[in-house]
Amino acid sequence: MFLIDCPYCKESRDQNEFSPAGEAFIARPQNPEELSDDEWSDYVFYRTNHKGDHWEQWVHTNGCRKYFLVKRSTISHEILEVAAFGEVTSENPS
Amino acid sequence: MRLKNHKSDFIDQSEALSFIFNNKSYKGYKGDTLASALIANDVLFFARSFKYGRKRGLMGSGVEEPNALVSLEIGGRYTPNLKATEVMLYDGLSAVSSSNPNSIDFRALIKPLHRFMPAGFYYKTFIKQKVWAMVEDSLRSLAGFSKAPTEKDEDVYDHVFHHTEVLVVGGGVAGITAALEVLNNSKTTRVILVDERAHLGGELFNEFQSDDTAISWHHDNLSKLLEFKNVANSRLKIFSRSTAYAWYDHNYIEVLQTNATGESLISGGTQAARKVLHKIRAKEVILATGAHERPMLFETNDLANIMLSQSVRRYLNEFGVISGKDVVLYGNNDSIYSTAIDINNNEINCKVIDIRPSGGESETVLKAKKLGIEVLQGYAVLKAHGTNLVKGIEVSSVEMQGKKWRLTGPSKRLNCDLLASSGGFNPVVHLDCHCGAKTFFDEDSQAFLPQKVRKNRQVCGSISAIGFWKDVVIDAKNKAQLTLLSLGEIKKSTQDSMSENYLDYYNASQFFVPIEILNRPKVFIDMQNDVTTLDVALAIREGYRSIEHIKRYTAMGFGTDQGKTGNINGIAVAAQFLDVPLSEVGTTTFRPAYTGVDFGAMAGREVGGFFDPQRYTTIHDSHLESGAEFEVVGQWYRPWYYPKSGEDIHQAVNRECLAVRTSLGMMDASTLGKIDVQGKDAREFLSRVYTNAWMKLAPGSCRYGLMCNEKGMIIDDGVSTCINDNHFIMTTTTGVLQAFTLL
Ligand SMILES: [Zn+2]
Repeated sequence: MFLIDCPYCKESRDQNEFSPAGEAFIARPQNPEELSDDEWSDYVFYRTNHKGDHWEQWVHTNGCRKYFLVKRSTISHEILEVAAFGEVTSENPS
Repeated sequence: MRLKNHKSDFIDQSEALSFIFNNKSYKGYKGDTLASALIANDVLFFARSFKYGRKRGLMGSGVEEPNALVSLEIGGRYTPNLKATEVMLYDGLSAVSSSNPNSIDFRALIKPLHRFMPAGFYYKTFIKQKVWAMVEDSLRSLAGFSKAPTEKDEDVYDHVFHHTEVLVVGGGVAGITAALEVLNNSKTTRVILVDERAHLGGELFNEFQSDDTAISWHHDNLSKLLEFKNVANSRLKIFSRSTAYAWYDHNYIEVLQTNATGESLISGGTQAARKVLHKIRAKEVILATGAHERPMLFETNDLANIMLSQSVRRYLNEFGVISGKDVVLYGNNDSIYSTAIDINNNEINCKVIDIRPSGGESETVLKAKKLGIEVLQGYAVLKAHGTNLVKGIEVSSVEMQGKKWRLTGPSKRLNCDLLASSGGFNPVVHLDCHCGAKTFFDEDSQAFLPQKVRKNRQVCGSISAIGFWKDVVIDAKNKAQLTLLSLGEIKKSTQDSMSENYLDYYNASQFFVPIEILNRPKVFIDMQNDVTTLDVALAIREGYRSIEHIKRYTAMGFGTDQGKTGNINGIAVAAQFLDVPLSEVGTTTFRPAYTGVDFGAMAGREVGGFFDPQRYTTIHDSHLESGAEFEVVGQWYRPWYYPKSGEDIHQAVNRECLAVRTSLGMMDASTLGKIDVQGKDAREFLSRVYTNAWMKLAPGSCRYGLMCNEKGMIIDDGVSTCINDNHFIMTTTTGVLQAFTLL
């Protein structure tokens, strides 16, 4: 039941229009063939499951269909910030 | 009975209405609820209880009522498990008790066995012994709820979406004041005011008999509200008979409005919606949800005509009805004296039993005494006498020793035919807690109060245990000012102070009762689920400590009333048996929905043909002509098989397969997803999304492929065709198409 501000459409829209797409800043390994099963499973399955402020990806499914970044408190569900890809990075999250 | 000379603003005695309850005809008036009309007709029994089949009467007057569940009408307008206290009367109404009090009942016949049926009885007897499956059906059919509807609902329901700056929940003094304060101090702020009752004013009507300023306040402020409402492009919406039942994240609140009770809504080819589900997004929420009274505890406190004090007062003042002639008020706070004064003013005999010792009485108490109302101070009710209906009570003197009540004297008996009790007030914090807000126990008011500060939300009025209505006005103005500040409508808020000791307006003593009373049998906490104090004691003896576990073991608060009258008492009982302070026990979790919500209202107009779009291919008619059975894939209606007369699915499919092998088959693949892949890396792209090789597929050829995601799960399959080295046409399955295009 969130109200999400799409950084591309610049509008507040109901959660119904969006789909969640998991934790943000998870880079796909450059060399999948060289990884061990443990390393690969770490990439595909393991997440921090962070309690608190959390950067995650959402996609505006029934809108502009673009992916973007959302900083959400996993305790209160408050959305603290939205950003287009590149505006914030794992090295430089706000 | 209905009082002869009573003037009520709500009852229109010029319009008599006929109705049927449990197969008998009665008459009531426009403005009555089913409950008030039945009190007027001297009907006292409304239900049999869930576990023991005990006859029960009314306890409350509104949403808190645990006993008087009824089902309304029949056929397409049948509605189960409504509270008689919330059913507005209309001409021709027909209702039956969910569990008929007048029928002979199996559970009541096995009365001698009741003391062998404590909490956990069904589990220990049937489930542990592995015979549950054999007895489950017959036991469930005994449960005291209405039968589920069997016919299609003939009503329609609407959904309406709202965006507003301010939502005010509750239309009593606090809600009215807060709404007006916001509207008066801003030119643009939009306000929605919702209230569960038929008339705005909440508990203020109870002051009308004794306080003329209450009447003029109500009149003036309601006219001001209407001035805001009755203009073009009004900033104010008011929804009555509307309950805010759920608060979800980001201030999204759902409100169910009842437009009509059970009367037919089809006339002249149009059909009005019976209920409307309002879906509200608010920037700021002001909760003015009030408080529910909690009853005092004593033995056989479940007899008919043992009610809540504030409810008796409301029936008297709003509807002009009362169900006894010899009334006893019992409680631990001043509110019972106000009820007594109102009853006495109507020339009905009443006395007060106050658990608090004499001395230091407030004005209200002194006024009652001056009117000649008999008052027993420092007395507790041990037991109610009577079979099914209260006929008298046993009382004993009590004393506070340290922090605990103790019985001090021998008991004596008093006669009465109506007992109304008040053990204090429970703030309606339910909605506030839906999104994770906490409550805390306040010693002054002996109540669980809402968390002090929350973003974009204010609380005002008796939800904060503020009792005196003039204090409520000040509090509501203060909170509305904070709301305006948060919205940026004002730069600085004005905060006025309330009277001293505003949190202890009722001078409540702590709401524990002597433990000797709790140790008696049949002291009911939860009327709807027949949970007694001894069930809680047993749960504790068996090792349960957390109130959440005690709740589940005893089923306390599991009924359709969700423990509105019982839960806080249950927590207090647990605290006494555990010998810990109330604050250490805490409350159970409040979850949506606050009251029952009709499935029809949830579905809205999205039923029948509007449930889901149906997509047909261009040759749908030809499939129909060939007698196809259809399967729904995504939203597409695709032919499944074509049975000839007498064929089952397997015979038809076999015949079809044989035809394809020996002559020709044709398949319409137009419902499949089609993705045009172009560019110099088209081959590489296909190789990456499919698991098999695509590098050597020649132009003009096609190949079947499987798609996996990175977790190794198959997500789709399909055939792709090579047009040339840089151009492929990929197909996806019909069902997955929708998900794919939405990515
Ligand atoms: Zn967008």
